[in-house]
Amino acid sequence: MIDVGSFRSRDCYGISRRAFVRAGMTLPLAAGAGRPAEANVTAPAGPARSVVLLWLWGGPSHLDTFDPKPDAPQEVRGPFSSLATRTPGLRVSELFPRLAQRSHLYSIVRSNKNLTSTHRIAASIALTGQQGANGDADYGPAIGSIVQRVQSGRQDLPPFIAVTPGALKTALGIVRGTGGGRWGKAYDPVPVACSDTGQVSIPALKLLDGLPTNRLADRKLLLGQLDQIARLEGAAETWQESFRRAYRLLTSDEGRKAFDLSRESPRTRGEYGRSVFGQSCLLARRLVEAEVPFIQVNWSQWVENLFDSKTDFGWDTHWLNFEHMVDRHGPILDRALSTFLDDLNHRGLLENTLVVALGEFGRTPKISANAGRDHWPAVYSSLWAGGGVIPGQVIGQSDRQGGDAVTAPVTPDMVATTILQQSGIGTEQRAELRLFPDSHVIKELT
Amino acid sequence: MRSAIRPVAVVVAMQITVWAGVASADPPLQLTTDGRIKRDPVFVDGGRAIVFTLQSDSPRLVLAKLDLASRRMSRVFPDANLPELKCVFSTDQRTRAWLRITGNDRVSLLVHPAGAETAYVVKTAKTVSWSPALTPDGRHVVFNLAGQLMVHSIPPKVIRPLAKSSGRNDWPAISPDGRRIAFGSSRDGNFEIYVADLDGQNIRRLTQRPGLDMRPAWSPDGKRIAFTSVRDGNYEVYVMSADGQQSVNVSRHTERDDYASWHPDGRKLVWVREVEGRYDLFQSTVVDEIKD
Repeated sequence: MIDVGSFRSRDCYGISRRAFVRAGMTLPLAAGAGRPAEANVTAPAGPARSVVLLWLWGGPSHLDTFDPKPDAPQEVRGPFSSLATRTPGLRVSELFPRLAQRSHLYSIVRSNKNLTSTHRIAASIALTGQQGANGDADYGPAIGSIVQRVQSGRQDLPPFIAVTPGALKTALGIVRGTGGGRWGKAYDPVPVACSDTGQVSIPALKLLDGLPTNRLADRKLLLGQLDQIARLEGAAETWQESFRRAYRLLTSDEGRKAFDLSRESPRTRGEYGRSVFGQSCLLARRLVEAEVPFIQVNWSQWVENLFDSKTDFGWDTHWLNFEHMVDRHGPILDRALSTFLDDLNHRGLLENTLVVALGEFGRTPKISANAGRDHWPAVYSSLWAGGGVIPGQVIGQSDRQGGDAVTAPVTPDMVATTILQQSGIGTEQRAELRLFPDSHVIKELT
Repeated sequence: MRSAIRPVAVVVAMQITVWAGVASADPPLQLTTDGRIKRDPVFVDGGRAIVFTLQSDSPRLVLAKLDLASRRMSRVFPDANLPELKCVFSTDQRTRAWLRITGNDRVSLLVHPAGAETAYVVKTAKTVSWSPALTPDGRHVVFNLAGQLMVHSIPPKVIRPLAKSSGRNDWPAISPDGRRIAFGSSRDGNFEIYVADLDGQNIRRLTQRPGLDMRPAWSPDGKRIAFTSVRDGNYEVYVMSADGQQSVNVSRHTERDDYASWHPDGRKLVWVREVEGRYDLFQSTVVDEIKD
């Protein structure tokens, strides 16, 4: 069942004009006609038609996932043993048996580095590939926003979709580097929420409560109303585009189908696991099939692992790192990501879909007094698959205790540059957009 | 009928001088069908119901009760607006303990003692308590505090460490006679299962295999311990003799099987089984496989 706001694909209700107007105002604003593609940047042709960024919000422990240290002292190694994989030299935590069996589908980078240990800032840097200005206030566009600006995708779907339980937050505030940034809200992603039961909703359209389908179909009438309202608001162009983007989703049968997980067999839905992340990965696969250029799947809305009624089990495991790894995070990630890679592979989609799984940093090698692990930006790991990436490799190396990179570090700008390059946004186009002039791709990956 | 069978089962168990193992008698019986994430089931009401933790929309985790006759599910605390999990009971069910997620990395361990009007919080500082277990008489709760096992006495409401050790210590389970405790610990490497006296003395390691072993659960007669192991590359439910000498995989299933708990009759186990990605409660009868 897809829930577009409160609009369900099989039901319809009434809507007030006021609610309709407010709904439009909540959407990401898009400047210019149609979608926000840039006229002076050539549409790219890279190995990755779609990018799926699996955002492991909170910072997974690299030692307890993809860079175990079985020979380190107990206070570093932790309580988990490690498993051999199909890739020589690659062992992963024992919590990932399925991923261990599929290492021929992906490569692991073990020398990622970030610039700060503050979640919100580190996340913004990781998602944009660059530091902000004016403290934590002013960021460049997120990687997905850059792809959105250049890629067209299908006309009835937004080019940058964030499958997320909500806007990324910590107890201290919202993450700023998740959308258009200096380019404006026109390049923000369209957020879509997916529950553990596979219920999909588009929160930006929540206020379109009960719009009858006969009025939805009457595009001319709605656009006429919109023009009137927009003139009153004095922002006709941007407002109209925001409505168009919503309208496309609501009125395009094909567009809506992409969000409808009930079209999947129970077996397929189950294979991804009955978790928010699992069902979100399944939705991502459907969006890949629908040729959406950039899909970001957020593990959680909140960075915190445990947070009163807001608890949605982020990866920030200062406490209970090992308990949550074994209870939830390990099994859920192992199942969802393995199935996602298999599914893309079996459908012939992996070749032209770049999958990247990472968080904003790793976690302390030494286990804390609270029996958890704290923030660690000096070195951490990421997983790369498909989209022209050479699989079955371990790239980079951390030291014996996972404290620092002993090979050249992979910095956030390199992550961004590599994703853009695989999306067909090469050196020339990045130069036109004045992005990452001094950076380079992670050479071993491609 | 049940009361007629029970003594026979006990007699059979007592005749076994070398307990060798158990096996599932029948395919596990599926008790729930909603498929949402579940954990920590325990039998209550003499085995007629199960209390467990259930994934929910809001709050994220709720304590649910499944009546086995009607299969009707209800919330233990219908008005709770904070996530709650891991509810455990004394044998007479008059004392219970559970966890409530109260803030940013704040978990309260609550105890509602027998006869008391309200529950109280065992630990209020910004520390995370986890995995409570009650002694059968309801006079002590053992829990994991920052990786070490602690004992809280009810009353006089004092907390003391059970036994400090290197590594992580978790999943305490008190034997039916209240004298021993089984728990998971990484003191020797990865998580293994250990047993000790309730004062923390005479610690012995029960499992020796590579791969995670965790969540021990005593059988009502104290002769067996069910637990979860990934020694075969997958979360499976095992049952071993209380001395750890013999163990057998009773779930034998390609997906996750976890959080085993014994029925009061000592012949049935309930656990959370993942089937095609859906988490449900399953019950299985286990029988002795080898007798001498």
